Amino acid sequence: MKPGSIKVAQHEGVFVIKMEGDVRLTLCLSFDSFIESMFGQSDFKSVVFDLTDAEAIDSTTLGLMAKISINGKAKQFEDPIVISRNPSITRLLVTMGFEDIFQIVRDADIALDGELPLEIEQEDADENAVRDKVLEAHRTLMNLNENNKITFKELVQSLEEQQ
Amino acid sequence: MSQSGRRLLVIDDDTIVRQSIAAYLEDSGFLVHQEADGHSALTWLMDNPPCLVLTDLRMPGTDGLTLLKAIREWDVELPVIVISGAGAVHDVAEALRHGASDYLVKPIVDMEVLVHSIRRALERHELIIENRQYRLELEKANKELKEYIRVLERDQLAGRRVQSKLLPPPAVSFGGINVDYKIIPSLYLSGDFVDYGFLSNRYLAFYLTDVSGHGAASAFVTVWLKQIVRRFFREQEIFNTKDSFERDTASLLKLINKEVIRSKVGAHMTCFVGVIDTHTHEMRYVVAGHLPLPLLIANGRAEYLEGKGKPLGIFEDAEWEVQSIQLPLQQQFSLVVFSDGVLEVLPPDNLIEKENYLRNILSKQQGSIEDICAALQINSLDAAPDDIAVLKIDNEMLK
Repeated sequence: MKPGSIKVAQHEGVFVIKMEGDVRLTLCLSFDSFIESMFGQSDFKSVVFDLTDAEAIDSTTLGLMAKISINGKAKQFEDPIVISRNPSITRLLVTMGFEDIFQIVRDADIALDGELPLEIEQEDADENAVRDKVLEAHRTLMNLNENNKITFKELVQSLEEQQ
Repeated sequence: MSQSGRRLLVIDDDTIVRQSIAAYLEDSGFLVHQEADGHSALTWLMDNPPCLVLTDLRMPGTDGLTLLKAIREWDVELPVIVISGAGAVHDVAEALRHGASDYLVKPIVDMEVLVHSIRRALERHELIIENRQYRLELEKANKELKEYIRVLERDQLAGRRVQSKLLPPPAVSFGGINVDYKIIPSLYLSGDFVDYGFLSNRYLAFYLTDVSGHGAASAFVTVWLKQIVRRFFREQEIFNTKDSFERDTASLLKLINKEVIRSKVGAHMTCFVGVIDTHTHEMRYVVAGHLPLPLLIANGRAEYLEGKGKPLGIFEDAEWEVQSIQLPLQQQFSLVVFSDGVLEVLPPDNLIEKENYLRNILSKQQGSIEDICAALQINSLDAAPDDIAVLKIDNEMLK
């Protein structure tokens, strides 16, 4: 297993939290302040957890993810989107009952005709439109990332910048 | 590093040379004391330790080399620069062997070379002193840390003793059903906890919980949790009727969930709760974010129970679904519940394969808890990466 890292990036109010490798948060006091400042941003729209490269996630991290969803719900925001292609990670989320608080999707790729290959129940068009926008922001970030124009910052580093 | 204002001792029997050196050094910002021979220089420096000594080698009476040796005996590190006439190669080699910092050849044509040599020797000397200071401070800090660790370890062990006193007695039987457990903590204290009780002389209730995090904080939560559960059983008279048996596992979880959130302990926990009717062998159970799911072993096959549910301590108004399963009444069965720490020590590298691996081992292994731990090679771990709890319930005839 690869040692874990958590990276964050934002684009037009969409925060992407990308987890890679074997993610373990032993000290999460600073993560709490990150959550607060994230919701405090005037243009905050939503959160995407990108778990495509996550191999394992410890219970502390899962608890913090849940916290983000709960805080967002209290402020009338959409449930965060979780992108997970790894069956083990998806199984973990489902066993924890996290389907109720996240929109778990397999893929962030938006097909050209605007249809999303999402495994989600029927929802009204309005919500879908929001989700499209959010996922598009995620893809934009990812593409930028590949071209090295903007890199995801290590979470710890972004926390330090907020001190 | 400003080296101005440092006191230097300059020794030379040749007054003109000595005074011109002293004048130049004073212009460069040093304080200079002059002596004309080795003997009086030695007397003077014992009372007024300088930062550096600059001495001619060839002098009547106590010469430079004798002076150097005497200084070395008195202070091993005081920088000494020697000046010698040309052709005294042997003297120079001897001086360096006795620890002179540098040597210069007379006549000194460029005084700046001398100043540079002095500055370099002073700097080196200060580094050595500083290094020694750092080392002393580090050694002191290290000693203090070791002491702190000893204190912490003592505290951990005391906490561990308290926690193990609160665990139920191992290897007991209720109404023909045996219960046994083992907890392998990753530190001295564990966030894993089991408890069970026999209610109304008919219902065997048990739970295994895993509090997020490790160490003292998690262990305290387990201790506190036990009190809540026990109190709930006392006050609510739970599981003493068929209705309560069918329903109250979920009520118990809802109550604990509310208590944990209200207490703001900042920890959450996964949990598996089961109640077995020892008359009918029907089991009601609830899964609260718990992985791996318990394994039911019967007829030489191990199968995971079904179920899912949210962990405790995160969602204010979470609900849990009570599941039901009929355990074999006439045949032997055993039910094995693990905390998720076991997953970390299984060879495969993803959850689904780990679950399969665990099921295969348990299908082949139906012995005691110790046998199961041996088959999973949990006993041979020096330090488990996470707490591992194993709870085993079976109806085997006690030998």
